[in-house]
Amino acid sequence: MTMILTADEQDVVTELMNMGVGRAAGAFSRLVNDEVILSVPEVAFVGIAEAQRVFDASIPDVLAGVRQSFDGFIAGAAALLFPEERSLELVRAIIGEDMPAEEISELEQETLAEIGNIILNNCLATIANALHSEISSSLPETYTGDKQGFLSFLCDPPPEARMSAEPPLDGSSSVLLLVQIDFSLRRRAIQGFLAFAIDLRSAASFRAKINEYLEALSG
Amino acid sequence: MPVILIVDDSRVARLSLRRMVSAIAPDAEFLEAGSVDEALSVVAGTAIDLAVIDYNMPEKTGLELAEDLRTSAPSVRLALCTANIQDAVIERARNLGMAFIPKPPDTAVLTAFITGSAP
Repeated sequence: MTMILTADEQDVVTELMNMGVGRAAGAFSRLVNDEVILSVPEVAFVGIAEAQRVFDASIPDVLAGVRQSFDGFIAGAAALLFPEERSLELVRAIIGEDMPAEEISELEQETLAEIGNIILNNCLATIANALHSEISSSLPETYTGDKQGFLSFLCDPPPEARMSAEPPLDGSSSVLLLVQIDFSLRRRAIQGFLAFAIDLRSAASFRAKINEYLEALSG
Repeated sequence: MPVILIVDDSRVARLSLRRMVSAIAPDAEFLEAGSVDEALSVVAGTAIDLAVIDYNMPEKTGLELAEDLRTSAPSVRLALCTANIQDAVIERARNLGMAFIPKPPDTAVLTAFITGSAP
């Protein structure tokens, strides 16, 4: 199963991601009361092996992350990642500097889940709105571990988290639309990464929506 | 002294909303629920003035809760507070007479809902 996009279609995907992430950055900025600086999204269609190479080259070894799967005109999973050692600082930025240390660490997983929920939903919802479509998302799940395990966490959610009855991506037939965005906070030296894996079984409906969007632009 | 019910499956979200609302309405009294069913049993036992409700929760959504509250507690003012800012979700909330508060809440938007003034 492959999906070759025209240059215009690829442009639309990048632009949609820019809009989604821009909106999500605004939400994140309000949440942590700091300016969020974004990189230009890198959009690439890759196989599982290539996705692993991209992760190996660009993300920290030990991660704290959150994923949500989504379904609708487009299906897949989105994840937000932070280097593990920075995650407590992030929690402190959100629930307050005045919390006792043990309470902060107790709330770490829940805070990460809520950050993921806010950023990923703002992003996905903005993309759905731009395409006049609807998308539904699962509840956030947190991940702490190494980057080798992360790719399978991104692509093979546990059965209870899956929204459709379809089998998980297994790497044999899958191509991922990997969208990578780096962001950092201006005052706090925290960097994070967003990755989207789009299940190409939804490629046809996604592509149809992209083309409607293109037609509306030129019409 | 308004009685405010906060419904969100995330304890962190409830905590942070509570902090924000306390700054706006220092005399507010809070009740919390982590699910739709929990919220319904809270409302069955206590009179509340306002409810700020998350959308995406396990089992039932915040819109399902709002539908129920519209008939069981029609005088309660409701707001949907979610990062799911899709037009379709906003429209459903409005159709149920709910205010819509994008998450994380902007202080001005939250103040408008809590005080009952126009946003």
